[in-house]
Amino acid sequence: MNTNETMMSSAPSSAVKENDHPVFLPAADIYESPAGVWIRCDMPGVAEEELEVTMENKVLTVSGTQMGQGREGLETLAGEYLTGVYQRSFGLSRDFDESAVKARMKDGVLEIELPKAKEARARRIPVEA
Amino acid sequence: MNPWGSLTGLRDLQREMSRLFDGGMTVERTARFPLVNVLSDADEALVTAEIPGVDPANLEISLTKGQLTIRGTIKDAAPAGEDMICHRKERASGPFARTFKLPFEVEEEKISAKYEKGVLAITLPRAEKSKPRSIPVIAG
Repeated sequence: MNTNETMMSSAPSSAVKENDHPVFLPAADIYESPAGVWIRCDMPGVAEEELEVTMENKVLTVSGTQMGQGREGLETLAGEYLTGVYQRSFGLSRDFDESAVKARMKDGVLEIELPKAKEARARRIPVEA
Repeated sequence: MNPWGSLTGLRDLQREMSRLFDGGMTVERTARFPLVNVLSDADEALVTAEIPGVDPANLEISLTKGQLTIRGTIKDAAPAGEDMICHRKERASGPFARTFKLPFEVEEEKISAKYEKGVLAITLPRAEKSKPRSIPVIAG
């Protein structure tokens, strides 16, 4: 079983700025088994209530706004990263049962579980001699 | 080597460019991990690092001779299940360490660190003698 359930992933074309925040593509891991598809995205600094996971027309989109850093009045001495909005879309090869999709956030990592419906799983066809 | 230089190195610049103006399908990686921001005012410095998915028990912060070291290991396993295959593996995992020279003296025993939502934040209060002082100018 080696069907690629997730094909492309890309940032939205209008991605440069959203409400003046830079938009970043989160790094992602994608796993698949006969039971389902798992997607993990690195989204450090994003609170659960700032997270949005949507599925429409076989496209799964995740987005989340990072929390601010520190308190007012601090001056940046060295800046290696910016904060803004994480956003990424994953094209799925077919629809998943939306009600069964699970998403959870832990330590800045979003994990989405897309269980495959029973009828969509590959079936072994016995070959008769 | 200037550990405080901002966005030094072409790869970091490329990464920032792709983060800002993303046109491609790839997520750029840098040799540097984790990326760190340093903020400060007259009283303290705040060092923040994006380290998603690390167990705080596997994070180690130490200070030696004015040098701050962040060390840790991200343990990342495939979801449990039979016949699991991996289509994409972009996220960083494994051991990492970074050391920086602090720009001023700090109160070592008052350093505190917090790991929240994948972001490590280390607060380093300035030593009294390293705080900026304003010198009054006397007209004469």
